Amino acid sequence: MTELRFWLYQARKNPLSLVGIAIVLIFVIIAILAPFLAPPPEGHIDAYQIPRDGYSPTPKPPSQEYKFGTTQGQYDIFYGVIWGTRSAFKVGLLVIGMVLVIGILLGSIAGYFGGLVDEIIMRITDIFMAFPPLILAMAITVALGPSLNSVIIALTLVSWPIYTRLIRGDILTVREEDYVEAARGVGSSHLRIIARHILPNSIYPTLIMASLDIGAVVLSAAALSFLGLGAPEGYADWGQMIQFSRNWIVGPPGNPLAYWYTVTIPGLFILFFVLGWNLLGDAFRDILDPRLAKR
Amino acid sequence: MEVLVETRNLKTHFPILRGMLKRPAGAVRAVDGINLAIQRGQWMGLVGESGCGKTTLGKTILRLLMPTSGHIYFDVPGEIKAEIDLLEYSATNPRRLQALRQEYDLAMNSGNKLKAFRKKMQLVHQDPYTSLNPRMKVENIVGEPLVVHKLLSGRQARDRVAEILFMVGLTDKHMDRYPHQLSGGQRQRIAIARALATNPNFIVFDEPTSALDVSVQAQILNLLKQLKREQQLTYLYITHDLSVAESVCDGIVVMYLGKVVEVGNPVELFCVPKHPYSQALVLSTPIADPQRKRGRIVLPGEVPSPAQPPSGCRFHPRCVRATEECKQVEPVLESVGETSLVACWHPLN
Amino acid sequence: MDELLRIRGLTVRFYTYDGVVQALENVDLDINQKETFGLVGETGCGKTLTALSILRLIPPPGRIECGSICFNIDDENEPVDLLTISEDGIRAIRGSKISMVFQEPSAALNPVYTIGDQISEVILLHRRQELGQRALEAVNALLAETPGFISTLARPIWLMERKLYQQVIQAPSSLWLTIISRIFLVKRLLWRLKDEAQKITISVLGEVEIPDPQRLTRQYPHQLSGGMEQRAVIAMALACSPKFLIADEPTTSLDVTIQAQILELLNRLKVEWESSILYITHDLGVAAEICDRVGVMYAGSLCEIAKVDDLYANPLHPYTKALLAAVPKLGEEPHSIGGSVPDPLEPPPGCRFHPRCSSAMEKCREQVPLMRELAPGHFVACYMY
Repeated sequence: MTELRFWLYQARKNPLSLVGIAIVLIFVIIAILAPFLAPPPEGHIDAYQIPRDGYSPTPKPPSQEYKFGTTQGQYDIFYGVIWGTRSAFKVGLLVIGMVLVIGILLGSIAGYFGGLVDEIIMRITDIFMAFPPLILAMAITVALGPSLNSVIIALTLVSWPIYTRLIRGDILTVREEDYVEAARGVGSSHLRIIARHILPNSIYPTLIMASLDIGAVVLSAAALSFLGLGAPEGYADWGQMIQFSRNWIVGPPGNPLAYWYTVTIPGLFILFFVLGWNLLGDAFRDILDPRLAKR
Repeated sequence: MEVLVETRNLKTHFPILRGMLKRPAGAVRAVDGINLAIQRGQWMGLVGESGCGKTTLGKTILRLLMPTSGHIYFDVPGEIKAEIDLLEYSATNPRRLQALRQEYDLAMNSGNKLKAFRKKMQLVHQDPYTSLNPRMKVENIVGEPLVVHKLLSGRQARDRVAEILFMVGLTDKHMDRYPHQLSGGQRQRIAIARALATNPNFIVFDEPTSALDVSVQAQILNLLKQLKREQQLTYLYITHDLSVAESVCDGIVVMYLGKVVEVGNPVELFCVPKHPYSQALVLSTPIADPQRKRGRIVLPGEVPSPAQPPSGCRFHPRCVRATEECKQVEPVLESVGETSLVACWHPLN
Repeated sequence: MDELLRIRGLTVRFYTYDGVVQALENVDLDINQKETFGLVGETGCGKTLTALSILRLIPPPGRIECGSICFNIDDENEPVDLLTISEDGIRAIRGSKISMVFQEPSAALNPVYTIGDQISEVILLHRRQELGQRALEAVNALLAETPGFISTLARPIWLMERKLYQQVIQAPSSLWLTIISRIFLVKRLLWRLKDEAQKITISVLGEVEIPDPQRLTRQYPHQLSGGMEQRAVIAMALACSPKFLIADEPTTSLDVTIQAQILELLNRLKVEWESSILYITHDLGVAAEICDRVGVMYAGSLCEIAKVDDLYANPLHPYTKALLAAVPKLGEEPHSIGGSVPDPLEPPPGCRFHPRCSSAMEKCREQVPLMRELAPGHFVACYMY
């Protein structure tokens, strides 16, 4: 109870973090309510496939029927961004989730046991980190065949070394604490020491980074989609919608803003999604960082 | 009296690794050949300055550190120790020696055998602010040994924790608190409670009161005294504060640079120290009585590095009585009088 | 005896998330010239805060609520109130007239600068005029030499230097000098100041009995042992010959044999430099060794002040008695004080020691006892007397 009060107090001190929580909450609601906000038309097989109104390449402005207009190929922008929220969460949470699992596992082994195991794991991370991340992700996606799942796998493979290193570093400092030695003296097993004593005291910086990174992962996924390596055509995905709008950023001569909706609306969704997670990450840090003790 | 814990020629060296390939380039000889015998029911004090290896010795006895060589015996009959010594000396039956050491020598044990020993011997750390996991409740901290050794669980474990907390002067209302909600003295009581959970015979205290105030220190010392009486415990009490050791211990070991320089009972050590280093320690310890400001012998210089200890007697560069002999030949621990042992070529008194 | 420092009604509060911490309540304290005053008490009783208040270094969210700290800078001038003078004024006093030695020597030294650099920085900051004087003398000596080939060439530079050092003596903090000391190459003309500071540094390090001070000035803190580091910190504090040295548990992190060395050193320096020391410690043994007078603090206020012999032979306040009984002695069971230090957020009303005091009376629970002089120089805040 007092903890909760303290959290609220911290959150009040930094109103931006409340904004972050609000933004992420709104996106969660959009994702959950997607079938009600943008019901798939009757007879639609895959709900993630954006319905289209013909095959004309020229976008159409917002109207009664298509609230945000249609983009290149007559895909419904409103439907796309709403269901795209689900894709964004899917990519962000899955990638970060897998990265955390791998990172915690390998990072704890490397940090706790040290020696040769540590050396091997760290050299592997070095190899992965030697490549520019986006290029490596592109190569992996191409090798696996472009799809949303390949994007998820590629981004996981690119980001796990950073997390492994981070967790290893934090574990190295906690490993030397007296209470860890005390646990050994009591006779606890290695697994118990890692799970009960070391991880709870070293995981928070990683969790904070993870929440900051969800936005960044979605951004990278969007970049891959934009390059045509992500979801198949017509799949509800913000990156792909930006790709559709690539030719329509500037309108015809004399009316440069004619197709503003094609790029602005998916762009704003990405912007707010990333912003929301970043602010939320800051809020986490304020609340969880043990260095900011109660004063 | 029966010996409960004994070390024979115990050494713990930490290698100094150098260069890319991490080749050993020497060793910090933190504990360098210690023979120590602690009687059952004794409160043995281990005194020395920082860096003399007293904490390393304590942790090696508990096998929290791996000894480089030597023997650690816990509750082993004298005949077996003698047999191991004999076998080692004669080198006639290496297989029998190996088997005996596997069975009785704590320095050779690992795995489940070591875990079984951990029930009987415990450690209390110096700083109660770092020795308790900040993210665990008191109930789980004190109850952890019970869970680890699968002794009790659920309701019974909770009752036992309450019982131990009561023993160390706390109540069950402290059970659901986190360490940061407790004061320094209370935390140290929690650490003591954790050490008591498995009903051990032997507890090593690593400066348990040096992070606490005098009034709290007195509370903890009185608690230790009472627990020792009630639970028939044996203590090894590591401290840098000679006055604490003298007021509570019934035997004192003085260490300098990885070696024992003097063993004796507190009264004798305090009043008629035999080793010049013990004398310097006694005279440097401030006493809370301005009338008794003594002609202090201020020991010149500082403790040399244990990576390159001086030749001969390790204390000779700081000793006023040092002679040529001290620089070359290392003195061995020999008995002087009835109760004392001293390692010095020119003992005082 | 002449007074050096007079603290009256010093009250410090911390405004925290959990509430207002009454860290210091109405502290009255006098420190005389050329004496060592010991401030004894347990963790959190406000010893260090008293010292920090003198230098006005209370960290936020703490605030000095009221009180005065009068400090006799020298015999000619009126004493100044350290709590009301300007920020510049207190900065000029910190490190030069009043300096402080902290508990942890390794934390008080910056690991990336050599010992010599750190000590001469203090000297450069506070003793510029003196340095200018010394530099000027050096230049004058050069100019007075019989002209040779080199001195003819260097003469214009020396004349320029002389001009600059005269400036330094007359107006050490003028804008003009500040600009010069920032300009590349030109600032090299002031090198003699640094040189002189280095010389003073070496002599101060010699004062604190450091063997081979020349070599030490080029060493980094991590190359020194704890005892040597603490000597270097003391040298830094003494670099400007302060009238008042605050030592905050300077030997707590050191071994007893090294502690004995440092205590001897402080005792000798106090006599030689004719300065006063405020010695903060939790160790009653150390206080008995080094102090002339001792004040005992409990939960933010002083409860007893007396000459060291009086205090240990005849303690009057129940807390002092209990504290002395708790010190371990050979063959004696240490007596503990029941209960624990009160929560500073909700201190008990009346005398703050009454919940742990065996002889507490009704009055103790209601009113805060005031300091009274029971015997000459022996002050107690207790209703028993």
